[in-house]
Amino acid sequence: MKLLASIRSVLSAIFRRSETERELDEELRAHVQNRADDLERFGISQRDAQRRARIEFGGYQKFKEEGRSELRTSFLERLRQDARFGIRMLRKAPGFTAVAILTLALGTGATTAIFSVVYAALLRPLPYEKPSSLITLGEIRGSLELGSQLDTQYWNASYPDYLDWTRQSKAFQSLAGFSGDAFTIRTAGESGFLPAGEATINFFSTLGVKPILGRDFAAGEDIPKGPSVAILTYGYWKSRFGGDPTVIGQAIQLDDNSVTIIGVLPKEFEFAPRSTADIWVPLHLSTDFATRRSLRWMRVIGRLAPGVKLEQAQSEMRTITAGLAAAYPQQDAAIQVVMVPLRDRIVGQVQPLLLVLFCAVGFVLLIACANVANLLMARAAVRRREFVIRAALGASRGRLVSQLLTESMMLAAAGGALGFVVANWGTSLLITAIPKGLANTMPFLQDAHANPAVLAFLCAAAIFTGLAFGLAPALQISHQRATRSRKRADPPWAGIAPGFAIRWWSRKLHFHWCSWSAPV
Amino acid sequence: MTVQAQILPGTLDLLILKAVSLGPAHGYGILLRIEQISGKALLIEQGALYPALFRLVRQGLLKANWGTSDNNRRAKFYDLTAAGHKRLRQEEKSWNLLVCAIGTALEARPEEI
Repeated sequence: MKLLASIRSVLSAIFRRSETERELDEELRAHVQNRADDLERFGISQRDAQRRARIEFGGYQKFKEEGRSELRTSFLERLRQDARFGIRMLRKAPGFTAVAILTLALGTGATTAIFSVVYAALLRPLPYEKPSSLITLGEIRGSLELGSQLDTQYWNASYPDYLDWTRQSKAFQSLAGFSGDAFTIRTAGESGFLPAGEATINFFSTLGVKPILGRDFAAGEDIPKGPSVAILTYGYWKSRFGGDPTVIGQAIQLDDNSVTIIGVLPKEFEFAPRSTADIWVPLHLSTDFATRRSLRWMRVIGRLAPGVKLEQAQSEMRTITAGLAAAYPQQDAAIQVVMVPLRDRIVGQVQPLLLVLFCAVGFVLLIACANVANLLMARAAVRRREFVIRAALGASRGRLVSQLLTESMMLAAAGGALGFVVANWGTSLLITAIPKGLANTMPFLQDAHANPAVLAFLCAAAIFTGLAFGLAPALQISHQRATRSRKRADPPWAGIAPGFAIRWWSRKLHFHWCSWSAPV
Repeated sequence: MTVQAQILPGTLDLLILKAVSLGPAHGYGILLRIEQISGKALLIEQGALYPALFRLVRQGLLKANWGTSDNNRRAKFYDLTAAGHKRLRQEEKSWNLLVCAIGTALEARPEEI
């Protein structure tokens, strides 16, 4: 109840300051007035009664001030006291404070920077429209292990089969295909190697990607003698053409063909299965590739029609496949179609890598936290006598705890603030460290900044560490309030505080980090 | 004899708690009641009442509500909480013990040493 009363007075003091002030004034004034009225009843004149009442009240302003300070929240007062005391204590040990803050800053900042870059590069949502509807379709011979199909970036189908699927499938609103390609680009005397992607006309529209300049492929542009048109990726447009908007309509020489640039892809665009492609061209198929049903080379992606579930698409495809197997027993017998959502293919590749990275980063943070914890505990051990005396003088355990809490929070706040600076700087540093060629395929990375969500999480982690290891010694110390001697014979590092804290928390959290992290 | 609030802060709190336990009252009423129940022997410095009242409210021993006094003025009335009742009983006990102990000590005669 006392806590409730305190909270009430806190809230009223914060939010109704002027009202509280008015009430205080009204109450005291009423008191004096009452007294004056009583005095008047005894026959004293009104003016004398007022004067007497005031005198009897005593120092009006003084008591008003005292009353005001009693009314004012004790919580805020204590907080202010703790903060002032904490700052003084921290200033008295500048080395400790500096190292603690620096460690926290580096720990949180570095890990945030890494998380941010990884997030921007690998974890961001796929830049397509409704990416969960995008499914990859690959043909396999029945005997192959399904598992081996799933962790590759390659899945293939033949062009005639693809055409049949397009004609017969209702579960998919659109089916597109792509493959890798490469050209020698010739300009004014020099030539270069240009990795590319070739795709069906509806490739980008299936993905739901619109060029930011120019236009998408149009029907009929996938001529066998081609390509005759091309769409540039944003990175290539920036690096090779300097971001010149007049590039649309320009002709470039790819192998032996003069190719017109018709569009530029958006900055956010990225297609992992063909991430190195600098330009995209429509399919230009020789007769063999276009007609041989047993030649499986094209990767097919489909967008599920609205409301259609993967299972429905799969069962429809089984029917279609059965039909094809019957119609073309030589090429399509024992063929199965494997449908895997595009996201799984892309992320699945990356997941093990991410796991390792996150673990490594997590350990870095743990080590930073452990170092700060060491510092805090060593400090607490040194200050043990101070706490014992304060406890003996009557400081409640709650008071001691809250004071240590305030100190830890201030350290965590300072560390977090500096960590934010480190994170931003670190993110930029990491991005510039990426090799130029790779960076060009990921133009969206230039925008990456310290991810606020991750930073918030890391600040929370820092605060948690501060709390956990700052409190443990305080709690343990106040446990032994009167019993523990003030004998000066005991060295401050009597093994109690650090050992106790570790064992206490290990028991509480079943967290055997001390056996893991060697530096501790 | 005037009881100085600063010298015996605990005593003033005790008197306030006792006075309020007899029934809700506003600040001035509490003052009058203390004077009354102490047989007019104790005169409290009036202003000192209020810091004490606010402190008791903050400690959760009293609760305060605005209401109208008997002369139709708006006034803040104080009443004891359950914690306040408990504290009053405790303080009464301590006080009696103290008085007993000091009384016995003061009756000591040279022969008893």
